[in-house]
Amino acid sequence: MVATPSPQRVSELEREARAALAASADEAALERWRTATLGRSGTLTQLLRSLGTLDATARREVGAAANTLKNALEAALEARREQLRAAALAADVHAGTLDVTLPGRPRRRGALHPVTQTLREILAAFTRMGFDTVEGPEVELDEYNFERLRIPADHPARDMWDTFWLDEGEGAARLLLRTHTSPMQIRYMDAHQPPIRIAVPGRCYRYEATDATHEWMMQQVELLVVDEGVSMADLKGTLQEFARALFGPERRVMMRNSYFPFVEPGVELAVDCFVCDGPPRPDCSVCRGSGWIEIMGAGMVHPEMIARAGYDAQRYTGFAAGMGVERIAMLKYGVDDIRHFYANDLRFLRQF
Amino acid sequence: MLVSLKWLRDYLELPATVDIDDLAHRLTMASAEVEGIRRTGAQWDRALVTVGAVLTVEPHPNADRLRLATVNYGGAQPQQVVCGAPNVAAGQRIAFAREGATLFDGPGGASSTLKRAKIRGVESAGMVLSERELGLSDAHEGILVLPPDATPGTPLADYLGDVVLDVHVWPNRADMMSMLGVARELGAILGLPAREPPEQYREDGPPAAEAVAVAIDDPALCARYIAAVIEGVTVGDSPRWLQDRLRAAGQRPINNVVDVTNYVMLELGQPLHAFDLAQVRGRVTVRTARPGERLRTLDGQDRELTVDTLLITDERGPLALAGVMGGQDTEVSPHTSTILLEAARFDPASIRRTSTRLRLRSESSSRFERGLSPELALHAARRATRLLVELCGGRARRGLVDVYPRPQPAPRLHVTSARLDTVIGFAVPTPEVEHGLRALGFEVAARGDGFEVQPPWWRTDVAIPDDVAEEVVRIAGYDRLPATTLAGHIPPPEPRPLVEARERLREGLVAAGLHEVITYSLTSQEMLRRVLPPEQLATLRPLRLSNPLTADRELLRPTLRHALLEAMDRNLRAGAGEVALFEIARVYLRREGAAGPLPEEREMAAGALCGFEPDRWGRATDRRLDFFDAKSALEQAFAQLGVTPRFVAGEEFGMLPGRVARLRLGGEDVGVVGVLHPDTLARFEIDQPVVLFELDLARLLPQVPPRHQAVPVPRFPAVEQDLALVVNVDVPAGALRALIERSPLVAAVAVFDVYRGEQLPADKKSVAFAIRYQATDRTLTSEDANREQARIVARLEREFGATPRA
Ligand SMILES: [Zn+2]
Repeated sequence: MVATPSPQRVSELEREARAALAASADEAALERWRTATLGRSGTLTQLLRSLGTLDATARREVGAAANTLKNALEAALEARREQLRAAALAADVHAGTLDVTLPGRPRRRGALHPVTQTLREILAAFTRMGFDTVEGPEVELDEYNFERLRIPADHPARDMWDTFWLDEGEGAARLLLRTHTSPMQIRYMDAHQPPIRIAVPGRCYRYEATDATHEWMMQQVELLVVDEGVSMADLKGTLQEFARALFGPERRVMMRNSYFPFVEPGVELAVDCFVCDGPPRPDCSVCRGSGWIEIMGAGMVHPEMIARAGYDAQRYTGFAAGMGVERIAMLKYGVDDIRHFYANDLRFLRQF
Repeated sequence: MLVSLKWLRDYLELPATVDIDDLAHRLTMASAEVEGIRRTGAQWDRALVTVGAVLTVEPHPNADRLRLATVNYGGAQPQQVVCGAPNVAAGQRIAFAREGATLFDGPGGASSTLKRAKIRGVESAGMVLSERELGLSDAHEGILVLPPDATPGTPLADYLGDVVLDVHVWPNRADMMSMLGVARELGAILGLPAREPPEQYREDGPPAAEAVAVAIDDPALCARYIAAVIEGVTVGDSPRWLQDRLRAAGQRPINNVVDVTNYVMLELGQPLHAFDLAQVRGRVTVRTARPGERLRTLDGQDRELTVDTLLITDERGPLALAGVMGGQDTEVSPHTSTILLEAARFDPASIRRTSTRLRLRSESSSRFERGLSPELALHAARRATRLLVELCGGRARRGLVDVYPRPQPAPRLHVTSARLDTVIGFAVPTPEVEHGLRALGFEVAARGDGFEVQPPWWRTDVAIPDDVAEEVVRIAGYDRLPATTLAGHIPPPEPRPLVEARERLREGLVAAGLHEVITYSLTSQEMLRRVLPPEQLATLRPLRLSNPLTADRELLRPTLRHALLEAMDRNLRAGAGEVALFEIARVYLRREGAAGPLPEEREMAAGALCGFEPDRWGRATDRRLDFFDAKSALEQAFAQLGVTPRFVAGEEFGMLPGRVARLRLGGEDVGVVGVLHPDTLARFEIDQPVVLFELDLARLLPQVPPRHQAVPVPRFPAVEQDLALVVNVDVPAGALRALIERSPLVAAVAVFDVYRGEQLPADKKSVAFAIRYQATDRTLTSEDANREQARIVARLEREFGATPRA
């Protein structure tokens, strides 16, 4: 039995429907509510259908109220649905709270060897200054490692490079493990014309016992510049740029007298101590209180070598320099023993 | 070169108090590195250890072997002390310590404090010291007797103390291997003139030339030979001061004659030799050895001489190895009365060859091999003769025998200002150039566009204008150089695709999770046998060092494998759970045929993986790194290079059969990857599976395309279809995939499952592929894809007997 539509009935229906909607807590309940209220045989639909039993005035009055109610309930349904969705999301979010202090997922990670990293930094600094990178043989002839660098057999300067000799060849053609990257000065000049601006990285070998600062195998970077008007001041400026690239923009360099048969004048080059970074500290283990760290030997390419390459030694001058990559790496990373580098212990390598 | 500051003061008017550290620093900056500073006497208390004069010596009332000495030590009252030394005597100058002074027990020995004591009933409040208590030596037999000029009361530290600089002299500076040379150098730096030691002496008797004749066979080997003859010498101990100086320079006193020759060598840099002239027969000839000649040298060794050995000989044969060591027969002995003093200029290379061959490198050879000035011989002959007369009681015969066949004129250099400016990089003012060079002993005259320069005779190292530039800049100071930027244009870099590709490979392997190692280039036969088959090792004949440091580093390696496994072993021992390493380095191979004198240095990459994959918490799981971990690392690196080598089942020495892939690219074998044989691992004492790969970069890198070519992103949608095939178990999935890939409509194909088991016959397996069909010019329908897949299946059936799995 259907009650006669009336304004009271509309109000009553609204009360009942809103209470039922508030009690619906999930999508299924909402759907059931929608069917029961707004569906084809829902209570409100029935009421609207039964409006025909009223007179015109009542029909207009009750019809308007019922239609308003229908729109209101549809909106209420959507609002309730949104409310439930937000509540569900909030519950999910809460349930899924992460402990952000847990470790990340492990992934195998490799790294370049610290000597390679340092070598790349060194070469990058010189590349910025227009140096090309060139490589050369590690097994060399006496001719290139010594003779053509003005270090003839039976010259006392040979004592400066303790050498691993091979069982092959004799005299100038005797094979050896290069003691420095300097042979590439000759090989490069033989094959090129000035201007020359190269950096030569590579392994070198010295016949000497290993200790905390000496390895019998090491990596060097050789520099060679040949052009018109190249001077010692250019050598100083270039290597100061390099020192700043590697050790900080405030660095200064210092030269002192040295001797290598293939340069004249010859110098030893030092950078001011970046550990002390100011007045030298007597207990500084890096500069030993001197305030200076020697990093390479250098000098002006001997004019005999310029001439021997077939260049006009009056017109062209040049400079050359050589540094040990391990030494630079030790300074950069604060490594106290060179032997760490080639022990290849992952506990060491993983630090870089 | 050990430089005693006290001795140095003979030639240089240094201030009484000189800052040694500053002095050493300035010498290091401008000339030669001071490697060490040793101070003697710094440990002696200046107030309590002084020069004393022994006034009286009396017997001890209660002991026969002790005496009582009264000593004036400079205080108001002389002090009486008990003394046990047998050599104490009135009138001596001695080293005296008073109560409270620190005493030593020899060099580096323990120190103690001198206390007042009663010795056999007599009070003693001081001590007459031996060298031992001063820490100078272990000698304690007698007290240290000082020269009579010592003033009582002078702090002993002032009288006996010294500072010795250890100076590393560069191989080109023959002149600095001497006290005078260092004095000249310091003089130039400090602006003080250096004094040369006196050379004059009184000549006596007939000419030296009547006592000895000298001939030089080859002036190229001996440019000058000077002989002096000193008669009537008394061989004995040198005076104390001379002995002290020799010791300060690190030499052992022998006798006065030999000591004088050594002293003059240290003072002037010229090695000298003294012969007992009575043992010399006939003319002295400087010549090379004849076949079969022998000489018993001063060290008692009977030496067979090679024919290029330069000798001093007489009628009978060899007397001495020129410049290296004297002979026993003509050695100065206590009976020697007439001396032939030799001062010569020998060829540096010859001396170095002989001394190196005979392992007789010495103070003498280290000076000759630097190349001495022939002028020096004359100064040294005179200076030594003077001292032999003065100290050995000898009479110098008139004149010197001086054989100098081809006197060398002093070189004159024209040095332009422009050259100086270019080399140095800034213009040192002309007066400063002249002043600096003159301070170093150069003669300088401004001439035209520069300077006319004559180096002093002792600077045999200055030969060209740039040598003069070095002199100018080192005296001016390197800190005055500006730091300038290279001005010239930058030469265009040459393309180096192989190096660039190598570095990309390095990065690719790192990105794939491998750690780069750097291992030694040298190894041993034993190590190579672990990784190479014997016949290959025999063919390779690895290059061998003639002077290895150790037996395990005597061969240049022809492979990297052993080094990776050594590194692997070390890390596993250190407890690493998962180890993935690689190295890119050269191997050294003999070249076949006449391909040049140098061996081939071929770049290789090698890697090794071992251990267990970690779980989400970083703990080892039970999944070992295997072949496919290595393969994926390689594939990742290859992707970075833009190449796709094929993995083809193969074999390799030291690897397990059936677990090895050879890498093929462009028809070449570019490498290998595989699981190592347990036998190989056992040789490295590794007890778990290791996967190793090796790439031949000489073959791989040339095939790397210079740059990636971009491919357009597909415009039309794809159709994805799966295809499961049943094939015989020995059909490689890669072969099936290669066939599928041949279809022009297949854009991508991936294996996603392999099944063997009870649902299939034992010799069959099922391989499932996910295939993406796509056309570049239209949208494919699933019918298109089905049609194409049917064609592919038909081909697979024909070629591999594959059947689609239901
Ligand atoms: Zn410091």
